[in-house]
Amino acid sequence: MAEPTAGQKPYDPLAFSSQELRDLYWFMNLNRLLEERLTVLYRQGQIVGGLYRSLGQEATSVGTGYATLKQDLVGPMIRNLGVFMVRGVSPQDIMAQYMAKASGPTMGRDVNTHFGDLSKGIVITTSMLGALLEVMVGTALAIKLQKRPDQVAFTWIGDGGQTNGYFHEGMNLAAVKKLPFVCIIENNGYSYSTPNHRETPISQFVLKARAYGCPGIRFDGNDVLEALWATRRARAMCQRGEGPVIMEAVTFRIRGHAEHDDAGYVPRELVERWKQQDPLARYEAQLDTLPNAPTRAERDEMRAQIQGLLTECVDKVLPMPQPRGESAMGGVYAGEKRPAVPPM
Amino acid sequence: MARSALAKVGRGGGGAVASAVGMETLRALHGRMVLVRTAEERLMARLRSGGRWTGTLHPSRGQEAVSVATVAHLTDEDWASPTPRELGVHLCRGMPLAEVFAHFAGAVNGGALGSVVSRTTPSLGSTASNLAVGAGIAMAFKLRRQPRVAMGFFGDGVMGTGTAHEVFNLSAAHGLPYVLVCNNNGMAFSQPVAETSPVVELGSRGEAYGLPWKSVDGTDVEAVWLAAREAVQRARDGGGATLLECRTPRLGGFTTAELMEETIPRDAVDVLPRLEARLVELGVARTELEAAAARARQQVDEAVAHTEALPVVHSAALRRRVYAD
Repeated sequence: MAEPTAGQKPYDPLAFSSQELRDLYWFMNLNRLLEERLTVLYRQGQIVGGLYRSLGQEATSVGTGYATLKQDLVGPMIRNLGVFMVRGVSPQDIMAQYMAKASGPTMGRDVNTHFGDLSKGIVITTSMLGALLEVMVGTALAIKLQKRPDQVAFTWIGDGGQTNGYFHEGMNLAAVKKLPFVCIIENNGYSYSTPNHRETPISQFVLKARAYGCPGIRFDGNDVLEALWATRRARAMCQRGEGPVIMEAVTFRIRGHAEHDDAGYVPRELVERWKQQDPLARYEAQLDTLPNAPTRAERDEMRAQIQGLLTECVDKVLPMPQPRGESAMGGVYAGEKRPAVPPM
Repeated sequence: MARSALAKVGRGGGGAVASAVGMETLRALHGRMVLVRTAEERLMARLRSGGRWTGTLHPSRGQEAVSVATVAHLTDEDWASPTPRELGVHLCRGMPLAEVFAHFAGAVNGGALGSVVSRTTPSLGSTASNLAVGAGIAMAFKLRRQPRVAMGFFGDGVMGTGTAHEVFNLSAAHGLPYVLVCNNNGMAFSQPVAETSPVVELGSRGEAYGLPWKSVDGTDVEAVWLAAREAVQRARDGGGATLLECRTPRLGGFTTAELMEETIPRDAVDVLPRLEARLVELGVARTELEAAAARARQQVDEAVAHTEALPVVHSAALRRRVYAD
């Protein structure tokens, strides 16, 4: 079982710019507060399908996502809302998607984070965990074949996802071909209801790198600065031709697999121990010590701005229509950009 | 490295270093390896001459130690899941030679290789599957709390498949009484191992799964036997699964149908002459080795004659062995 990491930090906290510190603060809070709004909407029956919270894991999504560059290609998984937003997806689009609105990214045809946007370098998320890794290895292969040295492909996978064959075949190919590919294993302690120790006898998922003869980086997934620093290192390795890289984010899933799961199978004291490692609280404390960080008053102001923005989004998205049944046949084949029948 | 150094000391120093395997066992292993090679040579010739001999042989030439020296540690209650390149496993586990030949000669009593008698599962052509079937058997042993061991075989090509990954993980996570034998013959069909694996020492991949592992020279019978003994003992003692890599040269090509002569290494060590030189060094007379070869030829002659006397299978028999009956 993953335990909170402690001890000396490998990076210099003074090396981050004031803009970076502000951005990370903004996106971590946006990630958490948006999910809190979505939870309310879920309980009101407004959400179609499940709601997969990333409570306690925001630093991993935001820190790793922030290390990617505009030209990179990313394949985030369902629990990486932060990656989507760092890459420029608006909270309004995410709400529309979760509520299956006709104006959402998939026009109400799919839900939650099962969408992509190539203009933002986001490859569409597949719901089969693990399968996305192979898709992203394919994009890394394309990057290499097309000789685009400034690009790197990234994907995220869980401690459960890495046990399936897709992961291995994808990583094996990436390693044999030395592709510019970063795989971030987000170890949140549980694969749905299966704890780490029933999944594998190894204590660290970063050891998976040994099967592929590639570099491995393990980092504190609840420290946003370390997530950013470590992912930038991995990205630089890929650019030097040392890829692929396997990363392990040590973090913990505070909520259930999704909001419909009460996670009664997780020992309470374990959750309590990890709650002490809340990534937002830890970042607040860290910012208090950094000279170029936003002040407490500025941070309060940012959070208020986010709340205002989210209220606007909810008010806008709630009355939007869902797609009409007759439109289902539209947008299926190439060349049809929008459904043949207008949504409403 | 240490092993070949040991062999050299033996040769150069006059008095050979005694075998940790024991003379009786070493002689028995030699006898079986000679039989496997003679049987495969005959099969190769028959299959290429056509007639009633049909089907495809995946020759294990140069890799016989992998089939013979590993299952030598299994009891009658244990099971093995060999690939089509481990004909020797079926033979060593007690499948009669005539029955193996019947499989290739379209004889009535032919059927899929493998049987309940030899406790070997049919060698599946989709080779990763053999490894998964073996893991299932090991899982059954564990659930039934039986002190039995399963042994699964696979090649370097299978190392990169999703099936291998899932089996490695399952075997490690559940501590299965399983020995995973990788015959790394350097070639997956026509693809060299450097193009399918990012690591040189395939066995070391066990570290990513928490599987104990060992990588041995597959042309050194004693090394294979000793490593397999350790792995089987671990499994039997409840210590879980082991990944055992045996590095071999594919001296016999891919199959009778696709020999791929250009892929056959020219300067590789051949396991059989190497073992014979070792036996001579340990004091075994050349005449004894020749007698073993003659015995194998006679067994093969008899099995071929027996098989060719049987009628070719009638189409009506095709449905046999399909359903439980």
